Amino acid sequence: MMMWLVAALLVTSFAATSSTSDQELARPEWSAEIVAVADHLPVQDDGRVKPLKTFAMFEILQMRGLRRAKTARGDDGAYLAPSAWFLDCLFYPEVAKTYPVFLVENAEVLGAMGIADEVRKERDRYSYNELKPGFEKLSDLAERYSTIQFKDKTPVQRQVARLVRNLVQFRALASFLDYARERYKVDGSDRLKELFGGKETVRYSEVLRHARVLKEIWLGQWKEGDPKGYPATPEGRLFESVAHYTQLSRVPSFVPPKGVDVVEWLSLSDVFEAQLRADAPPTAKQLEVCARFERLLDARDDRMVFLTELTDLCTSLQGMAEERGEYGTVPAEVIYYNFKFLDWSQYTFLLGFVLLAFLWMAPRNRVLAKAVPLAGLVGLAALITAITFRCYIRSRPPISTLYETILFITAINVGVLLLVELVSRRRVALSIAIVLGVLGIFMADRWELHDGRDTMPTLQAVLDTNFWLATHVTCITTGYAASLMAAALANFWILGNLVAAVRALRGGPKPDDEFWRNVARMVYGAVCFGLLFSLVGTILGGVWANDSWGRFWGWDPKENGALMICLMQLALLHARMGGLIKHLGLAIGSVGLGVVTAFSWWHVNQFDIGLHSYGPAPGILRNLFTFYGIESVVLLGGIGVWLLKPAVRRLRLSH
Amino acid sequence: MTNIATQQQQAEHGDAGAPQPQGLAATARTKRSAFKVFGLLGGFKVATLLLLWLLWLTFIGTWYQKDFGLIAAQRRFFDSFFFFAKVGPFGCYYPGGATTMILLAINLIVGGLIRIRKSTATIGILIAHVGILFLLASGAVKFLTSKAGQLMLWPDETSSQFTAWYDWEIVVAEQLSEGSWNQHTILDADFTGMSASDSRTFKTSVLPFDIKIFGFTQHGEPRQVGHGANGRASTASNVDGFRLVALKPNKDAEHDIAGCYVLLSAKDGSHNEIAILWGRSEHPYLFEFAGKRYGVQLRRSRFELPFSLRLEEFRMAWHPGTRKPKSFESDVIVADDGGPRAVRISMNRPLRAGGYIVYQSNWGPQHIPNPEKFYSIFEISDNPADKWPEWACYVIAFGLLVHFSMKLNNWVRAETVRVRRAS
Repeated sequence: MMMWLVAALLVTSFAATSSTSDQELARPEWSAEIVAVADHLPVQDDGRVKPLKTFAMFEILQMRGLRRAKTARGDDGAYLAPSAWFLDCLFYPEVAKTYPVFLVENAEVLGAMGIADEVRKERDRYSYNELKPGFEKLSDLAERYSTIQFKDKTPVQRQVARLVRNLVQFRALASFLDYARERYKVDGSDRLKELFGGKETVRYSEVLRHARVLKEIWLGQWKEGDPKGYPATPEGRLFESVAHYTQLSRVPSFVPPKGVDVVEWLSLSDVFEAQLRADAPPTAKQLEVCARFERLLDARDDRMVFLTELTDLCTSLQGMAEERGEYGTVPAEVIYYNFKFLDWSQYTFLLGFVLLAFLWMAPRNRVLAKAVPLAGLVGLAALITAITFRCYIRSRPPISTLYETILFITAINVGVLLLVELVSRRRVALSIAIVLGVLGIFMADRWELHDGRDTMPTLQAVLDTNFWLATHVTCITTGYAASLMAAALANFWILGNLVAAVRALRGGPKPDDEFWRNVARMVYGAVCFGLLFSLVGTILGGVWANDSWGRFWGWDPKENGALMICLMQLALLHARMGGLIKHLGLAIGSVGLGVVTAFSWWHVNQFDIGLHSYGPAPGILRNLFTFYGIESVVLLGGIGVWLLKPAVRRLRLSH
Repeated sequence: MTNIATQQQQAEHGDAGAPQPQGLAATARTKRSAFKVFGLLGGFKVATLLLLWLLWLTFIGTWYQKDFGLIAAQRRFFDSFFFFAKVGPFGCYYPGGATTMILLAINLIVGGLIRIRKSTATIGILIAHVGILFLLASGAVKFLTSKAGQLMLWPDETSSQFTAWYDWEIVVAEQLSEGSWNQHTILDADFTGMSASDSRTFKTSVLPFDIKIFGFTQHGEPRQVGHGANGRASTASNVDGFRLVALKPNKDAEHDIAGCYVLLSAKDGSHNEIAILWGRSEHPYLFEFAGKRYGVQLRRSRFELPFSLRLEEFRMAWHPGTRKPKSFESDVIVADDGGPRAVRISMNRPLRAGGYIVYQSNWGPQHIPNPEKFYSIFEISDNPADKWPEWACYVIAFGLLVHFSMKLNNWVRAETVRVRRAS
């Protein structure tokens, strides 16, 4: 409902927006110091206190599909840090409106908005000013589609909803300081003159100080049938104007509340409303926040003064947040995003991958032989640091979201495989470790971009238990990791054997049986390792479910997925023990185990049924089926190995 | 080395019977056959086959839930002994989850506990097998004995009864005096398996009439005859201008509202009463027989608790600025033989009392933004095997840890030796 109210306000305010030439839109650059201070501003969003940097980054990610803003399309545009973009939205909205920050995935959406054909491309990013003419049509469409359930919406319908949300959110940010830009007329009546010392106009903060008196006057003058509910008096008009601008400052919530019992932070609109209520008036510090923003606006072109004012504002907000014990992890979160541990991890794994390629070509090179594991270790260290930071920031065990399962699985796989390499020294585990490291971090990155939401969200009530997150979730995710590790090693075994067999049949060297037998033993080891954690994790999940929902097992899709992994592992181990399968069978089965694990990890979330539907991952089916397709090809490769086996054996005997 | 061990174990698991001298008596042959069957049941092949079959069942049961809901999938694939399915034009009965798990338990006992080689190398496996068997047993106990349902309470409301999630019962009440009724119940298992075309007659000497149930539908509603209906009439019967229309069952079976017709025929054939019973009717269908007053009602099965629960207060908190629930909890007064006591029930912190477990399950009303007061919904179950899975988990974890640690140790040793030799 609130969204539509804001949308309505938006539509009415479009008419008043005047076009400005590019020449007038130039603004001084934000210094690094200003951006750094802005990064640390605490805000409350999506149920938790976070740095402005995080808030701005995920806003721009939602809108643009990337973590940075850009001032123009193509090479002319300069990249902007999230907080710098946020400052532009607040202090230079006319400039921010020209940035192409709205990703439109489908030209049909633009068609529905009535945007001229020459502007339209299949997939591009557009500025607010470009999309503005079609907003009304778009919001009508979004309202019409709002009755359709998310899973039943077409991609275009989803895109419409997302674009409207982004435009509304952007406009909310761009209008945030409209209250401070406005000068409120206070010379229309003797009472107003008396109240404001005879001034002609005043700023919002001054009106705010007298808000309660104004309200009394307004209520005294109010009579039924007044247009828009405000009396046609100078006081009524003033009150209407203030109320209008106040509505525009709802996002984000900058102001910590007073009293530890109140958990919801206030937006500037809330401060105004609190000022009107006699029972819960805002504190002087809270009122001062409005005035500080006014001063910041006044100093927007003077970077030195701006920095001073921004630092004051930040210090004030930090102080208020610290009094409530809510600022503690904000600096750590800024460090987490500033240091980009995951990016460094990815770079290191990529470097390791390149070095690895050289190492396979020059296996006796000692420098490379030391550099590759080192790259793996450094990448792993960066990844573990990132996970540790997240644990500290959230005060949670390592995994509580789907995103974190990717990080954890990657860390476990790389860590365990590096340990295996330490013992076996065959470079197989090392190679798989590096490849899984690259793939894991890439996947985490793609998921964050795809989802576009804060990766450290608040948790639902049922998940709010560190004990079960630390035991069941950690165990089951370790089980996933081991199963995927087994699948990766099995992929290597099958493809390697296929290549070796073909080479042998073409007159090349014979396959090194001992080497491949040892790889198969690694597959076996990974399956065993996986069984321990999958089985214990699954049962612990049942024990948790028994405590939370009253039943140990409910055949819920997520539970079934976990059970399927255990059954596949057990079937493989029993088949091997019974002599039904050997190395090839184990490898083929382990590839199947990888498919079952992907099904359990991601696919069952798509069903949107059952008690575990708190982790849906819309829009990843295509990637999943691509994975199933690739693994099917590998399975065919396994059949190829089986078919070539007699020929290779004959070849060996003939020698 | 591994292969030899495998062959040894294979033989011990009875995949191949031991050779016998010729000329043995018939008893010996019978023993040998029994031994073979015993060996087959406990063999690795059967174990692998059963595990793969259970895997396949779990997969199709999971996929089936997408369209038909959890309960339908559970009843068809997991709780059933056999289920019918068509592959192409051919239909066939396949073993359901219950049969598969019974066979797995037998396989586990025979192969994994009795016939398995007992040595230091297999001690971990043995322990893990015991744990898994214990886990299967806990599932069986829960499946056979447990009752589960829900209880909804408004603040200051007290109850010592809870209602089943899915099961129904038909209650026939006989008025003994003003305000005093004697109840007779037809249990869920006796009529909910019927199809719309089935009928079943219940006779009892304590009632002057027989009760014939027909036209049962798992989910339906009575509609006026002649009104267009998006369902099919469960029978052609027309009762006072109404008929029962069967609707497509919900994916969430707890939202299904059952209905049926009931024909009450006097034992002497003098009088007949026909009525539509519908699960959502709040009041019973009242009628008179031989000067006595009776009522009949279709309702969710009800179970008595050995204590009463009174909701003092329900509290819930959202994450600030969101509609994401952060916590919800109920302060209740539990009154039993030991007197009343105050208890707080919250998510992940159930109440265990009198053999029953009471969980904080849900709340309402959820469609009103800021209701004046909330009601609390508790899930209640009486699972005698409540803690067994937890104990089984410890046993399995210990067993697997022992076994795989030994395996890991062997591998590390072998690899270390190999690397040393190679260098």
